[in-house]
Amino acid sequence: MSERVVWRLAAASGILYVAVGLAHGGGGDLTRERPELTLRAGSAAASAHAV
Amino acid sequence: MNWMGAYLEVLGLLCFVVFAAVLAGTIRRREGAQPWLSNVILGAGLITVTVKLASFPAAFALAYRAHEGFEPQLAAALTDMNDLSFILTWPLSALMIGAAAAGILRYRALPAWLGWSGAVAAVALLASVPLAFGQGAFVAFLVSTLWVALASATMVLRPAPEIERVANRAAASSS
Repeated sequence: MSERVVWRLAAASGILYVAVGLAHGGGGDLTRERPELTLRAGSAAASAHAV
Repeated sequence: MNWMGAYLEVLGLLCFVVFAAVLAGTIRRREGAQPWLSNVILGAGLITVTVKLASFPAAFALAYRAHEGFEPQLAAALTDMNDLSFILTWPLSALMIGAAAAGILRYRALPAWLGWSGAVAAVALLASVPLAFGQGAFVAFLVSTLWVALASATMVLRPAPEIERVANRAAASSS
């Protein structure tokens, strides 16, 4: 595999990072499945994308 | 808790390490003997991932023991540890993207629009930290994530030609 192909694959890691993040979405959000754990309404924005 | 989703996020963060290394390498090839900007990019990228990974045990512990029940204060503390770590990654990402923007604009390592948009994203991320518990601040994180995707796509489409030249020079000098 040429150096340039390897470079392109490595450069694509940023896209993969974003794609995985989008695929994950709120899937790992504890508060989505356990709403009783959402004790502070103000943290909803952060909770939505935290694990 | 969606364990597969959490695992995907771990994999995504590992990808972010590679991205930070590639981005730093892109700037590094244009820097001189004092490659501090590329070092900042890689360093800030690594710390970003470290802080976020370090928050996972709190969330994992909460989910793992959830069936046993939690005191509300303990559950809140574990949840907040995870959330606040996420917010802490914003200034770290701002440093990485800001350094990348400076390197792009100074050395023309990537298109100028990527440099200017990175500068905007970095400032927005920094400004968002004090406002982190409002809904609007989250937009800055989304903008910076979009910047990462655009930077990655740009580097895929514009592979650095210097790679082969340097490799060829090394091969020629050794023969």
